[in-house]
Amino acid sequence: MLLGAITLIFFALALAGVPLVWALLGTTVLVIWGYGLTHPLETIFLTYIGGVEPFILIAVPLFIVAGELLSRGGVGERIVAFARTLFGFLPGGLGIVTVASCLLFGGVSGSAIAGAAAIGSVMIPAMVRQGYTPGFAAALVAAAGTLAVIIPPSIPLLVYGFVAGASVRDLFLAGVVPGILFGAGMMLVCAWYGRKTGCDRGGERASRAEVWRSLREAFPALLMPVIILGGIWTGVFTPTESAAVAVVYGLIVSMAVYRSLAWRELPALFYQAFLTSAAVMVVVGATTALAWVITVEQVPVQVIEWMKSVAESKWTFLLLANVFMLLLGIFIEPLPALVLTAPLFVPLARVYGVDPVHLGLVMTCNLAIGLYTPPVGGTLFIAAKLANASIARVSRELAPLFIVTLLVLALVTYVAALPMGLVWLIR
Amino acid sequence: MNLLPEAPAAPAPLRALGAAVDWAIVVLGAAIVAVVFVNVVLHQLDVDIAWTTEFGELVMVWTTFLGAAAAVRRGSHMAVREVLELLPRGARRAADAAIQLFVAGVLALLVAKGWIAVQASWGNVLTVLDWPMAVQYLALPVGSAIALVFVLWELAGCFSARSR
Repeated sequence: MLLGAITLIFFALALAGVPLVWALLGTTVLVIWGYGLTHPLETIFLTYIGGVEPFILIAVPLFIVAGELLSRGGVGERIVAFARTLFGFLPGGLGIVTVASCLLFGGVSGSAIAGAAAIGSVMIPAMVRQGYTPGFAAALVAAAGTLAVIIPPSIPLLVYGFVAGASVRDLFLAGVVPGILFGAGMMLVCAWYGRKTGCDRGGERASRAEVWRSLREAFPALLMPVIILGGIWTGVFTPTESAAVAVVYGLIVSMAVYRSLAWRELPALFYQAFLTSAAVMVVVGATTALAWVITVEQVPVQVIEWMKSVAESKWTFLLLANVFMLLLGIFIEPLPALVLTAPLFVPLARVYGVDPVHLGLVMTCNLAIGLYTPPVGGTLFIAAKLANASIARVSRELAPLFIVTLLVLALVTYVAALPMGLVWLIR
Repeated sequence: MNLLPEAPAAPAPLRALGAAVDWAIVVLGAAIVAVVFVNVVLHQLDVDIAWTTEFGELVMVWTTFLGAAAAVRRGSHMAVREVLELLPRGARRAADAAIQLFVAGVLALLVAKGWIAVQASWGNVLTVLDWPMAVQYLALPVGSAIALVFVLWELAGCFSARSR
């Protein structure tokens, strides 16, 4: 009942164009008034502050700053150049290079938008010049850009870890294999596309000297995931600290090593990054407030009862979770979606014997797909803008990518060993 | 030379307020990076400074709520505008005014109730820093009040001929 009213009010406000943060807070207030609930608004608003405050979430703006530093600091181009000497000769080579670059970039950035922007700005023009349609080039970048939130470090996985009380270290480990699988699937689509359209049959293999040269250029950038992830996995620093290390390392690489960024560009870069982060964080905070009311009103308990009556097995539960998250992801960005649904889904996962780490990864994969599912989505917009293509045109070219990503999603969901293997190994 | 992105046109006092908020975000943001990084370094040297976590959280809260106000001014809050774009011009203007009015209502509540929370928390102190909790909670009514000023300006624009 309550959940229905909340869903209805929230979607009505959000689809009417009320910015999400005010739509969420407005929904919370309206539900409290409408149902005559006795929670004082001061308390609700303190949970709004509380949703913004946790130290671990400081990693969100920091990873956004790091992503901005890397995309403006010339890291994108060098990663692309390196991937090109490795994979450029294959059929659909440029597409494969795009995916490989997104995978590598995902290892340094935890933001899908940053990934799509950094790689897309270099690769989309290159692919179009080669004869790929702008629609396909954009579709590929929109999809591959989201690898950044599956491959660690990942902002959504970090936030999920906080909300669900799951280990961020384990979540980051669980992202490695699925990220690579999604990437491999997309590469197959590229090879097929290159052959089918004949626009990119592949070229000559790069010489060893060329590979070496581009590796040397890209090395400072490629060292970054080793430092960040190595630091987290060995326990040298926490995920939040790793984000600060990423920022400082990104500053050094883009300003001192690549010299692509000047001091006077820094204020605007910091400003943009913290503005973006504030816009994200208030939505997270507002979602926390709404989630608090949902939890206090015992909605999760009712959802569990309902789910038990529909889903008999773990498999049905996972299927329903997938369908639900895919639908939700079409309309809502990953972070608020995770904050809102994790309190409902994590208790359910326990009931059905699903590891919360596995669940978090599956949820994030679904929401990543939502980032390029038309009509709205973060990477979809960026890529379409970079390619100067309409959303409709990009959407048509997304079809083969959807087939592959949904197949991989099914694998990651139902073969727990794929995401969890590394976690089990380390635990 | 403009170090920060160009802001939408507005009367001088509003521009000054906006610029002050913008620079506060840059400075506080840089402070967050510095504090967390220093914490990493000290951590390696086995020095534990407990205040960095609390201080980081405090600065984060302020940066976020000031950032939310700046995002109102620059129209960069996350929103689904696709449905709105389908409306004819006149209807869209009316809808925009209705949205701003709704947002103003939410912000007014945040200011009023946030202020109550602040007043109730002067007595409680942060565990390590020993500063009143109110210093942290104050970010909500202050940030929301500034956001409210920007929203009211937008709202006034919806009713006048001022083009956006």
